Amino acid sequence: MTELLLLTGFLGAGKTTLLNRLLEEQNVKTGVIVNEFSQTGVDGQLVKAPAGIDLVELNNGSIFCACIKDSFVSALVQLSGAGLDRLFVEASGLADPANFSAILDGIRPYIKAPYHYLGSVCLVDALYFPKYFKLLPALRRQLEYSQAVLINKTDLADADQLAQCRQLIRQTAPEAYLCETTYAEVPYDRLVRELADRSGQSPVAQASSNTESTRPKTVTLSTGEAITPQQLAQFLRDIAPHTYRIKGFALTTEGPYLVNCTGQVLISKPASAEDCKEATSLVIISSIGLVIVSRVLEAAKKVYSSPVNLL
Amino acid sequence: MGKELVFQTLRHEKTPAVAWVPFAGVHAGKLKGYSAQEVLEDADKLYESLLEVHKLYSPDGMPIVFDLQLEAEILGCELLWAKSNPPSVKTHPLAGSEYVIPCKCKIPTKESGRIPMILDVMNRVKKAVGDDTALYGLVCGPFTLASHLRGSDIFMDMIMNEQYVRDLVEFCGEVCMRMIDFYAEAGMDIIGIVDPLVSQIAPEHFVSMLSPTFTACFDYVRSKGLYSSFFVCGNATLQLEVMCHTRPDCISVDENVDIIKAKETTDKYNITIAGNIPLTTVMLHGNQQDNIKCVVDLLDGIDHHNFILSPGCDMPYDTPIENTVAVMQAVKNTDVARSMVADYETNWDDIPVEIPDYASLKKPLLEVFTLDSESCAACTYMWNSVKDVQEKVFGDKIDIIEYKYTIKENIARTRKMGLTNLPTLVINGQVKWVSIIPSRDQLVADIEALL
Repeated sequence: MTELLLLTGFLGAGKTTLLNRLLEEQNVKTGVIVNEFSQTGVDGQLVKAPAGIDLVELNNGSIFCACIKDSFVSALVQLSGAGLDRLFVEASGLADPANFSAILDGIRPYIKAPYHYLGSVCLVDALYFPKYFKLLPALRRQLEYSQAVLINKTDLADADQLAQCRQLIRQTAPEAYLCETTYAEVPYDRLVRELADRSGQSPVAQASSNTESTRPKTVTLSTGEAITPQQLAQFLRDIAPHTYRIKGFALTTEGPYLVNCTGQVLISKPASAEDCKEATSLVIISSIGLVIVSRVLEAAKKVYSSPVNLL
Repeated sequence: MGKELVFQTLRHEKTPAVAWVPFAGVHAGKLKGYSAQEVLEDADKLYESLLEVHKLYSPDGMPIVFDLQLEAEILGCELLWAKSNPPSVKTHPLAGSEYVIPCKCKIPTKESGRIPMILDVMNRVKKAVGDDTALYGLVCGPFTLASHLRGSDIFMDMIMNEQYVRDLVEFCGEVCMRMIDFYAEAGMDIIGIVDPLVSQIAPEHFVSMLSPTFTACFDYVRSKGLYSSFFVCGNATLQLEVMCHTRPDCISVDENVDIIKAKETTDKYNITIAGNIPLTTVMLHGNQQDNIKCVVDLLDGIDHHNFILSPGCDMPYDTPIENTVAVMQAVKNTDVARSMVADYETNWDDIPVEIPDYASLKKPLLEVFTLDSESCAACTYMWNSVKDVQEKVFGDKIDIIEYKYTIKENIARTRKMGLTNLPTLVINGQVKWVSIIPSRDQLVADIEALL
């Protein structure tokens, strides 16, 4: 039997941080499925999967959307034969997991060893959650279908914002275990205990609202040119207001930087040796639709001397 | 070298000569005896025809295919094929009361519809003549594509639901970008975003619903290191300024636009202008002298900087080969050509036509003057809007008729009516709609006032 845990949460809420923490604690055979809706997977590169861990990356769509659901099903079937004790599934930021239990029911005839679904842990970003919750229906579904909710990044939010988060969560997922964290710090054992107390509390499965049409426009900027860290910061400041998320690696004159921006909060820091890349590759998830192309190119023109590639 | 001449012009540099780009779409097939449908469906026939265009017309640049229905077909529009025209859109999958945006999973891939055939020909033509000829990949513009999907309802949507139009056009912009990716990879040097319908809407509507998507598309082309051209048909004089704001490298206009005046606008933005040999009066129905005179007059009247000589739009299938050769001679050897037509005049007004007695009409008469509703998208939608009010509202209480400019008598009729732009809708002898397609409500109001 493989214990299965689903991690949901909007872009930048801290899913990858939580996943890395949980992986550090594991001393049993563990697998990971990482899902992103951009064509270029970044989280897969950021997950610090220890040697021996089975890591499957599913990019270019939500695993709950018809567009790549078949790949998700195949991965679950394949990993059921890998002798895993635990499997973590990190959903994409706009995932609507309402059909997850239906997927698990559907694969039952094909799997080699059964999955024991522990439940879903939803992370919310204390600073931005109230704003995005109103705009993005998928976030409501993530809460409704979770048995544990972590309000993360509490150090960045003020008392009012935290109170607003708590209220929204309690209204939407009244029975879920609620925990407030920074850097997604929560022990695995505690999570499992809380989830066990709430097993069977998930609402009935419904169709996922994830379709190709609801995917936000995502572009990937790549270039071999290095700019100064100050120029990188300027570029990120210029485009961040038009994005849900910017994530990836950027070459600078002082070495490669890891970029991780949510809304207006910008984080870029020198990348560690194992993260070093030979070229800049930034996944940019637009909050303004197709026009992001123009905004990114205008901003890039100010700091890069050669044209950048955009896909 | 011809290709470099086009590139220099698109980089807005001084050039030693004027670049010549014949838009031989289905007309390419005529050169080898193939029908429009054959060259738009058969890679070998298209390739063979394009090499003939290259051989006979010595172009500095040339398109591979000129078919604004290619993407629409993939997205579910049924097409009506013709022997000597590109196909036209017969059904509109999004027409109706609901506001639907297609699923992004329907965005074309390299395997969709006729795309594999076109990419194959692009690669072959690139290899054969791409060293000396600038190759154009033409993409259906996002507004025309949106109209293909939604039908004439879109003109009502522009009044009733602006956000829906924005969203649908943005979806179509994503389709454009995907096509740009494919054509860039297949070696195209210039991406033409062909959107004839832009001339049929108010500039304010263009700005509020279309500009951001067009700008993003042109920016995207530039980011790929390619040149871009914004093709429009019809009288786009009013729209030129806002088109310039979308940052294309070139704007291509047809005979409905006074190109010398238009160039004052494009020059202000340092954008190249291409055009605008009249497709029917000169290229299709004129003789060699007409064509030479037209080109010489144009070249003598216009500043050659930032200018490409080309037909106004896709050349009619039956354009006599010798006429296009005459155009080519006139642009390459202008001084010799000028002396050949020093005292030449054309007279269309000798053809007899009878104008209706508008004062004695028994019921309202709607006359639509078009280039050809089967080949010009703007004309298609103008004619469809008139057919629509007859079918759905008035039935036999009104009479409607289309006059296609591709027929000589209709050229004479258009001149006699004093019309200078196509498409134009005349109701009971009064010019009512010029190059702007009325919504159903607007047209119904016009007619009810006469009943």
